[in-house]
Amino acid sequence: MTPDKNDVLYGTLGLIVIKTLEAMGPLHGYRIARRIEQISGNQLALNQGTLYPALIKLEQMGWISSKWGTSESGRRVKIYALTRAGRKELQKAEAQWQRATSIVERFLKISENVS
Amino acid sequence: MTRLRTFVSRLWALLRARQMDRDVDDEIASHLAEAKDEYIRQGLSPENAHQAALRSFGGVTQARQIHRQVRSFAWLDDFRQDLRFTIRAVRRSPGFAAVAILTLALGIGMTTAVFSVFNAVVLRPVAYPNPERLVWLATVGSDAEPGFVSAPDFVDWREQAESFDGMAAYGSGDGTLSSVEGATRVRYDTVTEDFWRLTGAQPSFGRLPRPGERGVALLSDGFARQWFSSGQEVVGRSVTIDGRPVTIIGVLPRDFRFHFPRPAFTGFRPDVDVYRPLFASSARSGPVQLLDVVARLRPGVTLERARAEMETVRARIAQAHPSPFNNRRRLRLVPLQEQLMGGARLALVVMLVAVVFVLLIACGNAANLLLARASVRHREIAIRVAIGAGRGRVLKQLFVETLALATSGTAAGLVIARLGIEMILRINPQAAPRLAETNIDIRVLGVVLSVSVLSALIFGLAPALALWSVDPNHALKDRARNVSAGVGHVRVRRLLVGAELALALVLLIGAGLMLKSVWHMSAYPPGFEPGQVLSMELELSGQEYSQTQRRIAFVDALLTAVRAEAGVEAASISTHGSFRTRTQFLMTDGERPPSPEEFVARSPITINVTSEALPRVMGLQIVRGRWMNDDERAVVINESLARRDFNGSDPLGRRIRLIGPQMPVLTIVGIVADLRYSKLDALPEAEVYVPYRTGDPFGVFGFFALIRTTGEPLAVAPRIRKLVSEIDQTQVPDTVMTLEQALAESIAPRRLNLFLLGAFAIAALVLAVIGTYGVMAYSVTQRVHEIGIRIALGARRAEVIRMIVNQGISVTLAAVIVGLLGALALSSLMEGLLYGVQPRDPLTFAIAAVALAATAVVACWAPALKAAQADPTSALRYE
Repeated sequence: MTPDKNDVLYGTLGLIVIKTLEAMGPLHGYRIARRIEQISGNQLALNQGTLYPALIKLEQMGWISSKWGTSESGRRVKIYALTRAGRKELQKAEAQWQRATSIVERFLKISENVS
Repeated sequence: MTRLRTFVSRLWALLRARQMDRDVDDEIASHLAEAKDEYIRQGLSPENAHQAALRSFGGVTQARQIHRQVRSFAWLDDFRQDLRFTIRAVRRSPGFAAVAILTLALGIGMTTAVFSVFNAVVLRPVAYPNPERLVWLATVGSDAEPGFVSAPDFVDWREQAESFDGMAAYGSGDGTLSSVEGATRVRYDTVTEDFWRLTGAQPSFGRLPRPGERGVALLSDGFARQWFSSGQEVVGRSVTIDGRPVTIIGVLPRDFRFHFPRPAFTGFRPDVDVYRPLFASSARSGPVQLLDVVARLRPGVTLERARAEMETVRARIAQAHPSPFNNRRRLRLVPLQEQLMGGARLALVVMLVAVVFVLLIACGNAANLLLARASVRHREIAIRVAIGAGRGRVLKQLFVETLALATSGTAAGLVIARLGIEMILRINPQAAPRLAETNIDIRVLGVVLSVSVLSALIFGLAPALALWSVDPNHALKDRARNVSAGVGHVRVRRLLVGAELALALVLLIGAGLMLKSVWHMSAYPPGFEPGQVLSMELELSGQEYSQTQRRIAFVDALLTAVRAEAGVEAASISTHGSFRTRTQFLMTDGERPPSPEEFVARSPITINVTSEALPRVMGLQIVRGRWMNDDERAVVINESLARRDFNGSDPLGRRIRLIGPQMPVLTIVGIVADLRYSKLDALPEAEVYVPYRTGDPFGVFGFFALIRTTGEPLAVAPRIRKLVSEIDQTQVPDTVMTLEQALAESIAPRRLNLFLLGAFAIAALVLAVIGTYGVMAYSVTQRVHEIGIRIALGARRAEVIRMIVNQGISVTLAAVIVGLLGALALSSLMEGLLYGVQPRDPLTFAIAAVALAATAVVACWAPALKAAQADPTSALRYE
């Protein structure tokens, strides 16, 4: 498995993770995973394990930061937070995503009209 | 920016991989615990909650694996794993690794040493500014001769030629330098002004000579330290060189070396001690100086253009000053580097080829070892492939293993190279120009590294190919020792060993040819015992010796005193090999003088100004007539000259003149056998012996005193030195050694070649024999089972031995045939290095082939004996 092939996946997942962190503030891994599942109405059957490679990648990009802390139940967990660079990246990515989906949407509408 | 950041953090992750692994494990553990808590809150039993948490997490191992790949460089991580695996494997079988590494170290070390020499002598430009534009200029009568430029030609060239931005002439000599410290022999070079510009030399103390300044000298750093034990204070001091007062005006930097081609006559001192200004005279009548010339091309001027221009200049000179002598000579204008290397290049190319052979053999052995291990690891790899390792991944692992071996081999090889270089330099730093500057520099290191990677590819290839086709299904079904799988391996291994033996044979033949050459050179005729002769070079220096009478008196006194010494059997002088006087013609009385054209066409005759005792000292064989007395107006000629100039007619009793009509008439009284006693690898020259009391008109300033002793010659050397200083304390003998040593030195480059090629051949033979032994021993252990059955069924031990040895012999025979063919194809490359031996000398070929075959058979014999001693019961039980 080469990392490149998964870039899209990580890209989408990464976007979701950043957006989650923006909305909820700093979270630890399990909370992020649960939050994503809840938001998607349990539609996104996330293999929670895949979250961690995505997190390390985002951290290496400098978009999120992490530090050790404690969870609500008192466990030692790594807590992730959005960085300023991450926030900027998120704005860019959101805009891009919007544009991309709107184009696709337009196409879908056209094909509806034609049929 | 993001990219750089990612790269850095990946690197960081790589460095603290262990810490990160632990962090991820902790994180995952917390994650699972949190999930489990939640499931329990939802009402699941702790057991089920744990299962559910794992399920929703997905594969823990996979997550960890992907994490590792994502956060760092995947290939590097693989590499680290492979390396760790390799180290484990090496620990398990250290013997294997040691043999492989040593073999490679030997191959790589030898290659490095030879390449370092090649680099210093052939590749590295001289350490002067714009070395690529420096050219050597000379006129030559034939390609073999080194050539020279006459002083008036040089003056005209320097004035007229436009292609150069500097042209320097130089000459060289040995002289006696006297100061308050005493008298010592020095080598001095005389150089024209441009020399300093071309070499870019700046003295570390003092200054350079001013234009036209005479009576000054610069010292080399080494000489200043050694003789005056100081640098700075020596500047401004007055000394005498050969009796002429000279002021020292400067000392050159320590790293300054004289890199221009050496004049044909240099004496023995390797380094230039003193530099003095040279003034070339433009006079074309009277005695003419012969100079060596180096020039620097103007930027952008090609060799062709410079040659063309020089031809025009020469034509102009020829018109203004017609000279048959100059007309006969051709211009030679070549890059300085090319002229410097001279014959050394051919020798070094041959050595490089030879050492690459050794390296290939070493690679063959390493490949063999890996193959032997590969067949053991057949199953292990089959299992790895079966549980999902890609073939690429398996190959990568193999490659890391070979690379690790190659790297260790290279490290050890560098040590061997260092020792090898030291050994070469100790044998003779003068064997090739600039040999003494050999070291392992950046270029050498680069080549070594590529060589080691390349060799890893070569010797890693065979096992990789052998394992490529591993079919897990098949391999796992087999029992441990599978005959059919082994056969393919054994075939590859035999092929490798055959190739090794063939390469070794080529080297053996090469070394044999060199050995025979050196042997030919040092095959002395009966009576000639150079080991019993002390040879001492003397050059009379000082004003007073410009008188013939004084020189004769000195030689008289010397010979009388030496003869009276205890332990001296006979003593003579000889100018052969020292101060060379030559003539083109023996003019028989009454004959008309030769025309200038005839004169130029003849190869010269050596005039040896010598004395009565020479035949006793040297064991000269008198063929006809008799030897001459010191006072006699007579000469003796050698057979070569008799053949050349008197075809058929009897030379005895003929009256001749040497050199010119102004010389005395001398009678030929005897003919002696040819003897090579100054340069062993030169062809016998036409030579005429003249008694010194008669012959001194040629100006015997330099000569060898040859002293035959009853005991060890060097033991009398100090007493002889003392005798010389008693006769005249300003005279210092130059070199004092036995004639045997002097002769050995005359073929130093050839001896170095012999040493190197011999060392390579021996290394090749040893490696090839190890390889043969390894393969035979391996094939025997593979066939233990089969041999056990044979013996149990009644095969006799002798038959078993024959069976195994025959197997080896077929490989050896094939190797001998290939090796002989290879040697036939390659040995002509060596032609220039040989003396008195044809490159395809059948005897050498035969002896080398027999020697190789015999050694190989012995290498097969040991495993065969072991096989024959196999105990059938244990062999059959052995699984």
